[in-house]
Amino acid sequence: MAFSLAKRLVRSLAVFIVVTFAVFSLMYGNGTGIAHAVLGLNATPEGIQAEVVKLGLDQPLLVQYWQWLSGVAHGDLGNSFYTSESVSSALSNRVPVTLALVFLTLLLTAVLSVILGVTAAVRGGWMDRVLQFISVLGTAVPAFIIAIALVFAFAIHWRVFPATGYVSPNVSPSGWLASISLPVLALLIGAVAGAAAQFRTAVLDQLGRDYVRTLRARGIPEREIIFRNVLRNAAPPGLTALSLTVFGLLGGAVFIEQVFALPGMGQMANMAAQISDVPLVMGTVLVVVVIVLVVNFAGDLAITFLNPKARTR
Amino acid sequence: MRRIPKAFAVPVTGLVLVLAGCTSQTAAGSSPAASSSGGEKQQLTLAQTVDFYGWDPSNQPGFQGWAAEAVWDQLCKTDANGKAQPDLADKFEVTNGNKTFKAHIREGQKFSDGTPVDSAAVKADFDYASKNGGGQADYKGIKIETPDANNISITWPEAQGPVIDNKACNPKIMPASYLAAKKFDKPVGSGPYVLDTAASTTGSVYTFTKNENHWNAKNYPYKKLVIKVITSDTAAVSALKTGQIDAVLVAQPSVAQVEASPNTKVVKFQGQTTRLLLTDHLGKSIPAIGNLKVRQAINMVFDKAAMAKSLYQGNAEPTGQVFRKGTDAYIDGLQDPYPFDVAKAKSLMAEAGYSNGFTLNLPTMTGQNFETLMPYVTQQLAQLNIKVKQVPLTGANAIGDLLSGKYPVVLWQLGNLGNSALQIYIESTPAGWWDLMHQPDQYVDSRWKQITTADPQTAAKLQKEINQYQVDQAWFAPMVYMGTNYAYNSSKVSIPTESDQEALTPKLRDFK
Amino acid sequence: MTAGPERTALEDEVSLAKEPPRRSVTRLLLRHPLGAPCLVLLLMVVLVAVFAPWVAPWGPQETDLAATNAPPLTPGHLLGGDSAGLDILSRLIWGSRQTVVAVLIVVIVSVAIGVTTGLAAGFYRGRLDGAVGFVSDVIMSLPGIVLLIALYALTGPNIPVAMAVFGVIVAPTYYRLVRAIVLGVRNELYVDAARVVGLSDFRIVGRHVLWAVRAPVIIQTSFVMAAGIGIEAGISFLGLGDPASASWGIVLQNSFNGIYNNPWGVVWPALAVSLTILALILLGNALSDVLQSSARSKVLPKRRRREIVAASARQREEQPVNDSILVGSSDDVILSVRGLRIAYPDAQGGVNEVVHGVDLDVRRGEIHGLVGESGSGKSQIAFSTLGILPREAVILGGSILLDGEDLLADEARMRAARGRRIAYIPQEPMSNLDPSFTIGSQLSRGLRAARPMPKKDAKKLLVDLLVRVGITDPERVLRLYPHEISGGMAQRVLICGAVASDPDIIIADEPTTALDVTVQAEVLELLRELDHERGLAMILVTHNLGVVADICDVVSVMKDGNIVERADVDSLFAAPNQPYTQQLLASSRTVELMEV
Repeated sequence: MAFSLAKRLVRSLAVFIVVTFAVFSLMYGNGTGIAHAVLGLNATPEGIQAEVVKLGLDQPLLVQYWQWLSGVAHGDLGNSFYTSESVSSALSNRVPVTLALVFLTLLLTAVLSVILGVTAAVRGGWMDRVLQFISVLGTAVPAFIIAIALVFAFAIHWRVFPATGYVSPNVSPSGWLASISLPVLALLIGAVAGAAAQFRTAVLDQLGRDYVRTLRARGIPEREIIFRNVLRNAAPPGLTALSLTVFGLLGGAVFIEQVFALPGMGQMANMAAQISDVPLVMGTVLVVVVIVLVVNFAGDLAITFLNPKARTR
Repeated sequence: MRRIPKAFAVPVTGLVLVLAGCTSQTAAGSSPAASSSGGEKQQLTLAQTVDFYGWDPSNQPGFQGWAAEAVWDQLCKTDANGKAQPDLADKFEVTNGNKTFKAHIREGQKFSDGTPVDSAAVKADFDYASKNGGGQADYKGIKIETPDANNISITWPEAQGPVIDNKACNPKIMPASYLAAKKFDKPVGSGPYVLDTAASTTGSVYTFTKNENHWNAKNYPYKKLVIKVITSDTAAVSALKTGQIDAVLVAQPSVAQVEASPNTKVVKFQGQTTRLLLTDHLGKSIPAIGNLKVRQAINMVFDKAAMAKSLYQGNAEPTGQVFRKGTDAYIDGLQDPYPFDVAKAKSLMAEAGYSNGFTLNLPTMTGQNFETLMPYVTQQLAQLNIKVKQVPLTGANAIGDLLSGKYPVVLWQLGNLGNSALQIYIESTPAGWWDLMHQPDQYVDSRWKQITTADPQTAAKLQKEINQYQVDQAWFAPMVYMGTNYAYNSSKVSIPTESDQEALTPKLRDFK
Repeated sequence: MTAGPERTALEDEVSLAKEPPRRSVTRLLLRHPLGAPCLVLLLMVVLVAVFAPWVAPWGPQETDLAATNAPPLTPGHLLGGDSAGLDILSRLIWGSRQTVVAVLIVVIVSVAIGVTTGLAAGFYRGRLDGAVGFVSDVIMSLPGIVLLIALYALTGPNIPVAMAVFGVIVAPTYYRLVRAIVLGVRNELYVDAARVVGLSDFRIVGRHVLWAVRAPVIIQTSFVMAAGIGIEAGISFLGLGDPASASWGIVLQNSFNGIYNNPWGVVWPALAVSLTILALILLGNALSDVLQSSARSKVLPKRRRREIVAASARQREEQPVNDSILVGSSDDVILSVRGLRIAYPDAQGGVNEVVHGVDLDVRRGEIHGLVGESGSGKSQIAFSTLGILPREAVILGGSILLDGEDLLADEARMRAARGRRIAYIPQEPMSNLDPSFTIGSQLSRGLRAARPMPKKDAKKLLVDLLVRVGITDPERVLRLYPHEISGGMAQRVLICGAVASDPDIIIADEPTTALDVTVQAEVLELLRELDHERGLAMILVTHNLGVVADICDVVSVMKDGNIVERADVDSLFAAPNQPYTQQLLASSRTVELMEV
């Protein structure tokens, strides 16, 4: 098992390098333009050239990438071209916002989708149909449209609490909860819709299996069968569904941050990419890829742990 | 002289590419609130719609720069008309044919790290400005003399004319050691406030406490200053309405809503003129534009009153000239020689031989209100068979491309300046960056040369002549005056003065 | 999907009952409640896009300053005007063009890349598979939206390119789907046969493999289209779209920015996007239902069931059907089935009867064989005595009497008897054990559910019993997981589990069919011994007459849901009455000879 672990690690590293290099090369090449924009409008050609060298933008692609990569290995993510602020510091302000949003949503999604998925699979009937209906709606309407609808309802129509904007938890925990509840709701609907449906399928799949029939034939109460055996065996596909949810949430966070004006890393990446502030974009990509790889890894680890076949080998 | 603030893709409120300028009397002045000013007040909470870029003085935004104004003083501060007012320098004069700025630094001033404010520090700051940041060209070749710790004189290689005040007042004053360290994480200055790093989070909220030893302490009644970063307009409006902030810029669409709320007032600046810049008057790139009749025709296809009413919800004023009311170049009572008359415009085009029209590339950029303006402008130009092709400018090259001359004709909500001479320099002389084709013109260039050395009255007369010439020659197609809208809680805050040359927002010193 | 190499008899019976008649896909789709409305809506969108110049009341850049921020139902502007004076309805109509084009690009790119690589990787495997798999992992790890934003920095607002890139990002989903199917199909005999005959790989792939893949790909395409619309609207909304054009996302962005001045402006583009995506997803679901109907089982709602049962009862009274032979009652009969009728839902909402009024008696200590071909209904009867028929099954009538008490009449009675008095030995040992729990835990819980006792006592009982069924190291086996024991051992474990609760009657469903020949004999021997030791009654369902001859005392022969003959074993083999029984005996002998 240690060997396969090592193999996975190497593979993850390879994925990391390929992805970051791909994004890096997309943004490569516009050294003079960036320098000009950094300096402002009445910059002189000499000034621009000096700035290009200062930012290291005259080097070839591989060299620049290598510099960035070795910086990362030392914990130095570089500095923003425009503000000279260190990328790590910028990220440390923004990543928690996005992560809090994503993982709060994930937690609620896990709880709700298990409850809804199991209920729909076991009860069937109208409850199942309701879940399927909500599930379709939830996956059909994009999260940012749900977000807009929420802003419409709360900011325009009912004029309740500040619909958009962010309050840091350091400043006020209750304010933070208030500012994050609508964004979480916007993401939650789509996430639960997807995850609950997958979980329902997993549970239904287990319910149709022979061993469940045999357990029933032994006289074991249905409730015990569901909560012990079925859930246990439906856990691996459920975990897979949840890790897919994380990826969806990371992507959706960019839109949600835009609608609700949350100072998260998605918004930062959006603005940084539009002005070619490469270090900031790369910093965000780094964080996202690491999260993706870690979640994948953790998910696989958990599933392996749950699978007796893998454990006893 | 204020550097052009960098334009980034910015949400709703939009960053305005402006020139330094001054407020005019006609801006909706705000009267003092019922509550008293002068006594000490607890806290002023402002919101800014974009974050700023750290504490590097060469990198400060020219727009919503309250944080910089809080922690740093300057040698002098320009007033609404771009004229220098005392700041760290209590006495100063312009000599040597508008080439030298001589100043005496106030006695006994100290920076927040305890070191004294002296001419050595000021010299270091000017040197820094001449080598860093986008405005460094303004300080190229300056010579600084420091006869003693409290006297300094800065000499430019050429006559600066009316812009010398701007240039002298721009650099922020801080210890030389701060600049040498290049760390820029915590500002050191002699300003009216000191940054409280413990209570600040970059990108979110900045807290400042009052510097009671400031020479002008009594001008800043608030003991604590808090600046929040709120990028969403809806969030800003909500925050204002619920009292979480005291004042903020609001976007055009929100103005009506904000005005309807109790205890809120809106200052409607008119720091911008929406216009087409028709900079190829020699017809080098687009021959049609070189033809006066064509330019005049273009001026006549826009129903300015309808634009003000519909596209700006009434928060705009039709105009026939590009300069702000009350400035030197402004011509009182000028009749718009190009009234809205599509038929006449068409016949002008025919006379010029362009009844079949031509193609025109108009650049656009996000956050500059093009979604609202472009459809109408496109449609109206189409009446003259001018086919508009929109070119969205994006990415890091956007500003560079905009000003490169690739697009001789540009639609922009360009700023008008309180110092209209400066505006002439920037828009109408070959050296100016908004004179996109940089084409010489005998009439304008010769008068500008005189303005650099003339006395104020003559300068004003010359400026009006240039204005009239531009109108006659249809160098622009001005449409409306409009500007930013600044909303504030009138029961708590009052804004009795307006010191912003650019007429975009009140300055920190205007809040009482 | 049940594991195990062979389909069990029950599965055969159930699927035969549900088999839909072969009809064209389009017709079935249109009959599906969701199929028609979705197709209509999507067709409308496409038509509007194609005929936009004739349908739109205003041009795409035609402004009417008087209509700025006009509310809906303003004359001339049905949905109102936006902040520039443009007509929202017209903008949406013109915008549908960009939407349709964007979606087409996504689908073409992702299908072209994903399906071809999936086919190649699944078919050829080896290093190609590994390499493509790695690339697919990379793409799926890409932060898609950040990639699109970074792309914007390079290309500016270029929706077609962005959609192509998104197509690449989505391609791995097709790759995985196709590859999995190809891997499955590749091993099918007919592909081997095609190879032997000399068909080129290209033709094999083109003909056979593509055919297997078409349904899932079509269904997936529907969902990919939905995602494409969402992404196009999303990136335009973020500000990365071309402001000069009129896509739904751009209209939405403009309306959102002016939401205070014209709240209704947001509603229309949001609806356009949402409804179209909804239609695509529902269409995908409908296609899935129609093309893969076996995947969905239909459980009838309670009311419908009652209706059907009542209707069936009425029908019987009117025309009594020729039932199976009656048997006399007797005191030592432990289980009696009378007039049992079972049905399954068909594709039209009615039911198909599979067991037509069966009578059966089982005496104490008697091993009663229930013989028949696949689909004859024998497993149905076995499961109904335990009350573990699939959820879809509808029992139209009859009774199951355990010691005189009707189990069908009272759910509680059935539950009390299940596992306690009536026990079950399944066919396929490995799939009938929960793979995630130890043997010991499963056996122990099963035992304690029937006979509550402390864990220690249960363990002791099980250990003894495991020895009895022929497992030599019971303590160790209890700690093992199902995948760690052999098929034969697993079957013994299952037998142990059945017997442990000390039941009166055991229902054994083809208990030896899945075992090796040598083990079969041992297990049969075990069953006979247990039966005699404990005086158990047993219903032994089998299609193997050899098994019947070996241990059964009495035999009932089933054909098409009826019991056609019942006799004691010797009489049946010596002198079968019914022609069907005779055929059965004759063919079985021939087959057995061939197997030897």
